[in-house]
Amino acid sequence: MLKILLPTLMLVPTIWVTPAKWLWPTTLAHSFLIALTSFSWLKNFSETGWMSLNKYMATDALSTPLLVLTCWLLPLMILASQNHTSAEPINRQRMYITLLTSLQFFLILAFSATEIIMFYVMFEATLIPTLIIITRWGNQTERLNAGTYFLFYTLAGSLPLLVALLLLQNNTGTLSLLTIQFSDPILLSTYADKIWWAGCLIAFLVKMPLYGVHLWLPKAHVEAPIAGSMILAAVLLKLGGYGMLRMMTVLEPLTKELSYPFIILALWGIIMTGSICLRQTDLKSLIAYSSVSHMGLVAGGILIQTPWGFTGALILMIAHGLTSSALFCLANTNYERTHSRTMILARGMQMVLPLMTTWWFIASLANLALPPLPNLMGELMIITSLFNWSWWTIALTGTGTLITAGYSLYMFLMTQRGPIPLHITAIEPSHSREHLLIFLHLLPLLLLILKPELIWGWTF
Amino acid sequence: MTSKGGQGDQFPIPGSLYPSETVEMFTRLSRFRSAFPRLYSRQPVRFVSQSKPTGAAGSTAVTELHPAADKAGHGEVSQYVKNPDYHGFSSDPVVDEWNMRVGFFFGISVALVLGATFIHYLPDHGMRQWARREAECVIQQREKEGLPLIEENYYDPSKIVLPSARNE
Amino acid sequence: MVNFVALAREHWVNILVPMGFVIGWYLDKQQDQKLTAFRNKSVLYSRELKPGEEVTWK
Repeated sequence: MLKILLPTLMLVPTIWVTPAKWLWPTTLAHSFLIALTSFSWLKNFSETGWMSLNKYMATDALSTPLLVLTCWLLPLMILASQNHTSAEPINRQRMYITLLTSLQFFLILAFSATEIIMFYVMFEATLIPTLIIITRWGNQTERLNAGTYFLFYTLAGSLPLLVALLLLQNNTGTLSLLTIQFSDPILLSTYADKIWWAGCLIAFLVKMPLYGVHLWLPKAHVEAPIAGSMILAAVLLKLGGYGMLRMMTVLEPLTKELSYPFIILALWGIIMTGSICLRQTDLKSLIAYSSVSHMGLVAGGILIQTPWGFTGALILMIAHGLTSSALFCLANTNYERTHSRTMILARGMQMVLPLMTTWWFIASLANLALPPLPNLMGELMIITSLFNWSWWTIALTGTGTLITAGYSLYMFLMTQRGPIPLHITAIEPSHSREHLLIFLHLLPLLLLILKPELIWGWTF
Repeated sequence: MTSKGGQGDQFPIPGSLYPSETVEMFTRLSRFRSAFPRLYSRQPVRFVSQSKPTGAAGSTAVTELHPAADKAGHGEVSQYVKNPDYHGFSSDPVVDEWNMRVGFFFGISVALVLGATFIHYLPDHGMRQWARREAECVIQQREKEGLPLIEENYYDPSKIVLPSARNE
Repeated sequence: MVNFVALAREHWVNILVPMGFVIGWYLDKQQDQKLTAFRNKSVLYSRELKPGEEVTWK
């Protein structure tokens, strides 16, 4: 545990004392090394579930994939933001990388916490670096508005969680994740208990985000700089899913009835946000709404509370993390060249940057869940478990996948095919950096086809 | 250079220079030839985005070349003008190349290759793969010996010691 | 030799993260050692050590 956490911490002094010239290569190399060492968590030798225990932290089959994804995202974020921060003063660049590193630090602590309160604190702590990244490095003035939305949606959602957790602590005497699943089921019958149930989940549903409380997400995604969008889509949304998976064991007897409206809302959200995607003109906003739609499926899979649902949710979270992050990177390569997110202003990129088109193609196919990819595995498992619960859900999930395919192809066609607009006179060739960046997103996704049990969670 | 100031009106967008005029203009560039041999030999396409807001003329496309190289990274001037082997990492060619090497080495050679090797050789979790292979071996053996594939009893009944009924 | 010194001065910071790894690894080991404090102390599950066996598990 500490052997990953301490290097992450030591990355901060490294960032600040490295000669300005070598700032980016050094941090890149070290963050890759940390990512490599984080693979050691995957060595799952215990049958009881918890591994690499110390007093406050432990990993299990559920948190390990998310932890590795967190560590993997840091070098990718560094790679991605190298170009657009290079014009800034050196100290601001250092500050930027420090924020990204601190985000990784908090996320590791959040995913590996064995106390729910510690998880809660770290869950909130990740807000701060993200907020700074969005409001300081965003491109337009709307970023302040987006930051407010981001902060207050999450805070308003998660303050009830704090109260609910303290109540739980009062009743059971412990909040340790190691023991709480063995504690007696709590008798929940009154209306206050139902409110308590909602308080426990709403924070995570806002973070996921569930349709209806998702408005902060497209704003934050659109306004954030590339690294902010990447970490937001890839890991921060998954904090919500992870928290829900953890809380589900405590909430047991009430969930059966109370989760209906939320499942329906999540499934309805898949269709609604998918339809919104079909009419988007803004590239980043489209990808953000597609995240909302995928996360709706994840929320449905978790709330249905079957092993298949949980496994599918985890698979989809990891696969979506890599895919949407890759899509944001691709959107950013377009943005850095044309300085516009509007899709119609940058068509026909296939003629200019053909290799980028290949990456766009693979990423779009991953987004619409092409057969061998983990995205399909996750979606299929969730859809199957939902179908097993009620036949009617297939109408919603089926339409949802259809729309997903529709808008993924719409995005691909709008950006890559068609004539080049006349106002585009000179587009810079794509850099090796960008190819490396996308490759490092998509190759792990493809490799996961070969060893999917890494992201199966509790069922393996 | 400044003597031909009015010429800019004919081709305000330097990218649309006519070939003959380009050549003519380039001959005027000859004093830069020693200082920027590579720049000179490149295609005029590279100079495209050099539009000067002041009306100071056709020679702007030429004179602005070298200050432009300094304000890199804003997409105003392609980095490729300065460094044809630009990898997208840094405006300094040495750092750029090293950063590229570091990125590819640690990203692909170290993290992906070593990481994938590590994951491939992870111990068989819960001996699931072993159990599968073992089961296949047992089935083959039992089929060869003509035994039923699976016994009726999980434990061998003769090995279970039951308390005799009398003791109750 | 001078070249080497210059190189060290330029790149000494690269030692920090590996150092963090080593310290973290050491602390992890220490932590695991603490977990062995109650090894084979349980009345219900303790057993006699076989000859040549030092501890029940590592």
